[in-house]
Amino acid sequence: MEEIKKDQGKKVANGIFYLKNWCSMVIVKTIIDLVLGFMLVVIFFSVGHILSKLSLATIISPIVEKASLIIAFCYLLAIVMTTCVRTTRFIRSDLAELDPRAHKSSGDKHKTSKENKEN
Amino acid sequence: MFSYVKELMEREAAIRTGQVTKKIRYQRRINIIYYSIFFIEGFLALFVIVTGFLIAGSFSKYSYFIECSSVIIAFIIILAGELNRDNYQFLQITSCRVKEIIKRIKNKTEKDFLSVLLWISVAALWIPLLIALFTMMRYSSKWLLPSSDNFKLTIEAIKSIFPFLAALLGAQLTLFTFVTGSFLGRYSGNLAGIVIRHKAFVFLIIFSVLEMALLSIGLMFGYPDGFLLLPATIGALTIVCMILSMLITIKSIESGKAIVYSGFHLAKIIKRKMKEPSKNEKVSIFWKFLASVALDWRNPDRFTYVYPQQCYCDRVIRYLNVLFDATSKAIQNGEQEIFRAGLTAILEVVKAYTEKRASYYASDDEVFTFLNNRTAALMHAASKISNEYLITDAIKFAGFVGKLSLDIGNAKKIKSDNNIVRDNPRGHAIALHWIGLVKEGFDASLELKRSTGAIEARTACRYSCKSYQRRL
Repeated sequence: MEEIKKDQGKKVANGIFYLKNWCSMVIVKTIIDLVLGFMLVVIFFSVGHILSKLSLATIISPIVEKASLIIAFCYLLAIVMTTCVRTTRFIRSDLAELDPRAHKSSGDKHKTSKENKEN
Repeated sequence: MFSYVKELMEREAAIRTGQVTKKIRYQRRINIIYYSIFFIEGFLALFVIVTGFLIAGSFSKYSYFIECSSVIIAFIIILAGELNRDNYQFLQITSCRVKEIIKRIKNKTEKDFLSVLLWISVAALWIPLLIALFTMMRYSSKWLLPSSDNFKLTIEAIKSIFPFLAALLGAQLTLFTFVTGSFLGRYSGNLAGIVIRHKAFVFLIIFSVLEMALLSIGLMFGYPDGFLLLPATIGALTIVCMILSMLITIKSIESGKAIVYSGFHLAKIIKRKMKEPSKNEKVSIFWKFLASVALDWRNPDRFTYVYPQQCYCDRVIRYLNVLFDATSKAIQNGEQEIFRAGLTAILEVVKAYTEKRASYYASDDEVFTFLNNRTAALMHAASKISNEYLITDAIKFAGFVGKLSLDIGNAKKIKSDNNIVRDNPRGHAIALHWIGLVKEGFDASLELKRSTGAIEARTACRYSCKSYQRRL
């Protein structure tokens, strides 16, 4: 009985470790995406602004400024949606496999889908 | 024993290191693609929105619909990019495609050393100029005469750019002719002529002339009112043109690459000019009808099956003469780089000629006879100079051409007008001359102490004999 409990405890610890890893990975990825998106939008906006200040390409510069703001919104929405997709994928496949109740028989089955793929 | 084991271990370690390096490079490429997708989707979205908004300005009735569509398309592009960036399989496929494209660009650059600069000049000079002219034209409503006040505002700017442009044009002509003349002209004048007619040079010179022409017309007759920004645009593009001229001049110093380019260029001309004989002797109803009304404009050269027209052979011999002269000069100077470049160029010309010549069924060939004689002279000259590596290259070249010569007199079957399939006589009389030449190279290089020419000749001879036997 104790052996089984120990085994389950190990599995839960493994699961928590994997969950932490996954959370930090998703957070870091999202932050990087947000920073890069912000940088890109700032570049677009400043190009449009500089063009309008230099009175060059007067027709395009306000459109570029407006477009950069729209792109910022699109990026934000896309990043949120991607994070949601990542989370759903994680809950559906990886987390379900981590549940010790789902795989009682085989010791190998607690491996995540990612590890299985690698194998 | 110990040294043998050590050598084995070192070799294994080197293989493993190579594999690891390969994996690291692959992973790095995937990482680069991962971040590149982010920026590419951003730029694409910007392009779509700006284009959509510009089009919406022209169609005020549907402006709201066009603007909304462009924003939705931009969002879809960004979302698709973001979702696919997480997919490792997608990144792997993209990486393979990118690798292929890079390989293709490298091949192109090897053939044409100025191709990258040519594309840059098109992207940085011609496309912006055309876009600027089109936009200015679109927003013009009236013609500004030289007497008008608005014209007088820009006349100073035009006058200040004019001497700068004239100086640039003069400098371009002087630099281009001087560099190609001094670096390639010493090998052959015709070679310098081929390189100076490269599109990269021509495009830059035409661009400067066009800019001068535009400004001159504007100065004399005035210009549309939308062209008020023309002097500023031309000024900015002239600076880009100057930088590109400098880069092209520096690049054209590389004589070896210029000779290789000449070879590929001449091969392209041969492929374009020399016609293969018609594969089918049958005349279609279409051509019969055109012939009945005296409009049969088919190339008469395509109805000679035995031997190509004399003018083609003369042309190829003329091209080969130019390249052989450069190679001979390289032997005199002991320049292995130029010698190899010359042989590569000759080989490309021979390949192009053989590709077309293979369709004719005559087993004798004037060009290959000429090639054999000149290669023999080249080999003897290479065996006498102090750089003993040259003879090895010459023997290798003879081996390659010998293999190509097997295609002569090996024409495919031809269908005649009465549906009779004509099986052409086959023979490889020329190949024997090349085997003989390789043997001569073997004899010449045997006396040399620091050359692997003899081994190369033995390999080439064995290879040629095997190919010869297989084709019989």
